[in-house]
Amino acid sequence: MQELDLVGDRRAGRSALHGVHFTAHGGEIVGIAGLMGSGRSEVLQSIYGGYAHRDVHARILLNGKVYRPRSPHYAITRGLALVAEDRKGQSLVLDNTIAFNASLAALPELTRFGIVRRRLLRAAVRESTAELRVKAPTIDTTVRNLSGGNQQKVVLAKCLMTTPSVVLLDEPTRGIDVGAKAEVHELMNQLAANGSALIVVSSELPELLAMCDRILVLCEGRVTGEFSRADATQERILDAAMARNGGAETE
Amino acid sequence: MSTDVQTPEQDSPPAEELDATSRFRRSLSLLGSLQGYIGLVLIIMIGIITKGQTFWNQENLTNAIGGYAAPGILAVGETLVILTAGIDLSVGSMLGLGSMVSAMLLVRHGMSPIEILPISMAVGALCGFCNGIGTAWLRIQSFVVTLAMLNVIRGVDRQLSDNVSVGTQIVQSNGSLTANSKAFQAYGTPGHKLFSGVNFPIFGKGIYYPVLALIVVVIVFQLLLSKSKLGRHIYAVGGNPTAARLSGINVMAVTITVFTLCGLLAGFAGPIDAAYNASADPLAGTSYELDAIAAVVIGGASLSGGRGTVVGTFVGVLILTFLDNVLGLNSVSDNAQLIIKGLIVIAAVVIQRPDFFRSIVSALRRIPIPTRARQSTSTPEES
Repeated sequence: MQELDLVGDRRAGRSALHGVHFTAHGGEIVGIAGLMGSGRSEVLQSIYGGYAHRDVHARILLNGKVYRPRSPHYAITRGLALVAEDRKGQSLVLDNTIAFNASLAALPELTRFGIVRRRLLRAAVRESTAELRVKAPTIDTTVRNLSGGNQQKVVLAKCLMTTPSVVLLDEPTRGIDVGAKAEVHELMNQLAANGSALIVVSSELPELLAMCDRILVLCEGRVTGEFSRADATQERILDAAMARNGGAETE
Repeated sequence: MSTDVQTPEQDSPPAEELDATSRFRRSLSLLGSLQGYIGLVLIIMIGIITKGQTFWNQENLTNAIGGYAAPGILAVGETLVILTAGIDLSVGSMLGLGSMVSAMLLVRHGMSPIEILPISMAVGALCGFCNGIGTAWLRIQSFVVTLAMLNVIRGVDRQLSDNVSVGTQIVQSNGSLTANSKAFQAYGTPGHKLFSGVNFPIFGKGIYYPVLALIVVVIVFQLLLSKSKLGRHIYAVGGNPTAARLSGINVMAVTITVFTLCGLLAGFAGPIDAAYNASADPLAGTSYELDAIAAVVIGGASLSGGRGTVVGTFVGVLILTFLDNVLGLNSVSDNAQLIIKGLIVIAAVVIQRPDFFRSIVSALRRIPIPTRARQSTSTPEES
C-alpha cells in the first residue's frame, strides 16, 4: 500500500501551486487533468524532487512516513519514478544505446564497487525491453533511430528497472502511435494491478476517463475538482479546468 | 515490491542480440573513429616513404611519443571534461605548476621522486577541484572559469618560482648527480629507461617512463569510461544533463569529479615534463591545452559532449606526435608546421562528420558523366 499526500507546494519566485492536496493508494491510477500551465507537471516535478528542495513547501506522506522531496536520486531510492513530459529533452540521451538509456536510473543496483556488471545489466535490459515489446534490432541500437513510440517505451523501461512503487507519468502517450499507446495503457494497468500507485498527467481526456480510478482537476495551481471514475465526464472536467472564478480569492 | 509484470503471451522477444555483428560493432565504437586510424596510417606511411628507417625505428618512435607524453596525458584528462560538454583551458598551467612544484620539492627540500609524484598530483587535483567548483557550483561556463584559472595558476607558478626556472639535475661536489636527482631523471629524461633488464614486445629492452605512463593512463581511463558507473554518468551528463539529473545522477558531483581528475592527470604529467626538460620553467606547459584539445577533437570527440573515447584521443595524440616527428625529420619549418597542424584539425573534424562519405558519394554522382550516359538518355527521345 502506497499512500501519497501532497499538502502544499509553493515555489519561490512564481508560485505554481497553491495547496494541492490529494492521496494516491497502491493499485490505483490517479489522473491529473487541467489546461496548459495549470500546474500539472509542476505537481509531478515537485513530488519527484525535480526542483531545488528549498523551493518546494510540501508535506508528503509516503507509506505513512514523511518524505521530503530532495533530489531525483533521493526519489528513486524511495521507490518513485518519473516519466517526464519531453522524452527527447528530459529523458533520453539520444546518441546512446537502448541498453545505456534503459539502465541509467537503475545503475546503482547493476554495479559493484562502481564497476558496471555488464552481463547482469544486459540481461536486465533485455528482459525489460522484451516485456515492453520495444521494437529494435538489438539493445545496442541508438535511441535516436527509434520511433517515438519505441523511444517512449525505452523511457518506461528506464523507470521500471528501478522497481518503483509510485510511478509519476507526465503525458505518457504524447506523440506516439495508436499501437504503442494501447501497449502503454496495458502496462499502466499491469503496474496498478501489481500494487504500484500511478499518478498520470494527460491532456487527453478520453485517456484519463478510460484509465483512471480518480481524476483530479487543476486550474491555476489549485484543485478545482476531484471526480471518481463513475461521475467523471468530459464536460464536468472541462468545467472544473476552466473554473477561474472558482478560486475567487486570488490576489 | 517487485515489478515483475507477468506477460501472458511472450511473443517474439525483439531485443535479441545479433551476436557476432553486434559484438564487432560495439568493439569498433570502443576503438574510436575509423577515420582517425586512416589518418594515423597515412601519416606513418608518409613518414616511412620519406624517411624510411630514420623514422620507423624504435629509438625515434619512443622518443617521439615520449616527448609528446605530457600533452598526451593532458589530452586524456581533457577528454573526460569535453565528454561532459565542458572544456578545460587550464591544463597547461596545471602541468606547469605541477612541474614547478616537483622541481622545487626535489631541489629545495630534497624529497625523493616517489614522494614528489603524489604531491604534484594532489596540487593538480586541487586546481581541478577549483575548476569544478566554479563550473558546477558557481555555475560559470567552464570556458570562462578555466580561462581565469589558466591565469591564476600561471601566476601562482611564477610567484613560487620567482620567474626563474629550476633545474632538476643537482650536481654533487664530486661531479655526479645526487641520488634523488638521478632517480627523478627516470620520470622522463631522454635515454633513461625503466626495467631495462626486461624485454618488452614492442619497445625492446626497458621502457621509457613517459611512454609507459601515457599507455597506462590511456588504459585506465578508457576502462573507467567504458566499465564504471562514473563513466556512464559522464556520458549521460554530456549527452543530456536534464535527463541525467532526472535519472538520479548528481550532475554537480560528476562535473566536479571530472575536473578534479583532469587536474590530477595534469599534476601527474608535471614531473614528466620537468624531467624531460631537465628543468621546470615558469612558462612550462604554455599552450599545451591547445594541443590537448586538438588531440581530443582529432580523436573524434564532440565538443558538445557525450561522444568520444579515450582510445580515440590516444589516436589523436599519436597523429599529432608522428606529424610533429615526420615534419621535423623532413626539416619543414616551424611556421609551416603550425599551419599544417591547424589545417589537420579542421580536416579531422570535417572527415568525422557521420554523413561525410555519403555527401562525397552524392557529390560524385552529381558530376555529369560524359558520352555514354548522354547517349542512353537521348535514345528514348529519338524513338
